[in-house]
Amino acid sequence: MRFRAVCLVAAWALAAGFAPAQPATTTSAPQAAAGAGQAQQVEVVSVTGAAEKLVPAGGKETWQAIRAGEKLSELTILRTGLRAKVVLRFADRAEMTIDRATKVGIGEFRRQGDLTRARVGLKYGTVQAQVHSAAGPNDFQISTPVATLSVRGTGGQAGFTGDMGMGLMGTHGTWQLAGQGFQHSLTAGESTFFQNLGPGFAAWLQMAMNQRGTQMGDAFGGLSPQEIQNLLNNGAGRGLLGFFGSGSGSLQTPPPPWLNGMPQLGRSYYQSHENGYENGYYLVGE
Amino acid sequence: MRLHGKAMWAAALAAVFAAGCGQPGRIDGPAAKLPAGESSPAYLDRVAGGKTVSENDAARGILLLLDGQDPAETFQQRVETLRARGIVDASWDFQADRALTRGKLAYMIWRACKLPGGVTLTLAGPSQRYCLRELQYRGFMAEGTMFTPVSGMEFLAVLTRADHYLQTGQVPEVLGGTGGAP
Repeated sequence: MRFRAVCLVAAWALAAGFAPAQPATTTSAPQAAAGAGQAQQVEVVSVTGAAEKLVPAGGKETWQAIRAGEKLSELTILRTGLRAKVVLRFADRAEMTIDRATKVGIGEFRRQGDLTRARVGLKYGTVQAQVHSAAGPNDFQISTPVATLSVRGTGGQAGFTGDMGMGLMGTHGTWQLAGQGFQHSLTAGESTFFQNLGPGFAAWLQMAMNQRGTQMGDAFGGLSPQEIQNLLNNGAGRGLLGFFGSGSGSLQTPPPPWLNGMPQLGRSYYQSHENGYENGYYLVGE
Repeated sequence: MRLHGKAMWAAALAAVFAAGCGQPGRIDGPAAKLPAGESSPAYLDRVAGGKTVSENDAARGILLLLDGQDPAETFQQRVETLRARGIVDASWDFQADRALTRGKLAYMIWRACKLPGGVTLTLAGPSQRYCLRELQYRGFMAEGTMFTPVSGMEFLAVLTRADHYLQTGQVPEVLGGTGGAP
């Protein structure tokens, strides 16, 4: 039964694209299950709305409602509905709030000496985490299909959606992000959603949006760099005051020559676009 | 003569209004069913895995967004509920197994969330095109054309943002919105 659960989590993680996004320091679910240290349980502090956990029952896995006060072990998968929220406590080291319309898996939660080690996989939705370093050393990581976040004595929100990618907002401390070909630190008050953090990140979408805005606003190729920057900053506006866009078809076309003056923008666009499909985005309208 | 002219104008206006109201659109596959007693997490999980979202599933999603439940047993019941509440345009044709387009999704979300609009929406009323532009502007939806089918993950994401907006009045930045905690 345990083997089946391990296989289930492994398959889920692979399907979500965890593998390509994992940096060298991360651990896959099967390895996590066999990790060193003593397995701990996660306590459900509160449940608001509809929330379920995947449990083995009668020879097959079934979804059951989660109740406040119950304990969850490693390799538990949780999902929440609209208007729902679940608060989890990782012993004395961390609290995590699973927000509405979210699916997460607890890959590992173990203690070895003073060190507490936790791995949570976020398939879609939003989580808020507060990790307390005062109680002892932590190794707490949240994996999404595009990146892994190391949370040590920090707090903030992380979200992943299939159309815009990943977003992260730090409230205190420093978050460490690692993904395919990039690493980044995020301090309190920063958010990442539209930052250019490298391939595999949501920035590729923003590149396309910027490109679309500038393409349509510079149809005759006569704008100055300042005017192009203004379009990048403000986009196309909306309604009658904006110009009509060409839709996501522009994602399929290479950047125009006048973007050569902004090599970082163009390069990011290409790299991100190439990785967009691999990471499971469904944005592109052909 | 002058009265006759006024009567003609009134008749012309009446004809325009009658044409505008039109006949209710057709519903294909009215008896189509979805899993009965499906919980909100189960629905979201099922829909998220689809390459596209059917109009039947989309109607259930909007009802879950609005009411937290979908008591309808058939596709026709869902469409009629949405029509009665003004969430969909009465003239739209529906097909239970047809993929939902981004324009229709934008229209339904805009109506469900009672979002304020820009100049065009205010003056001309809702349309798929301008609802989509408004939702893109507000960070509810990503860039793209209104005729593109909606993927499961995109539908889930938009529904999540709409739920945030209905409960808190804003869409958090980590989900692509303009800011605010959930």
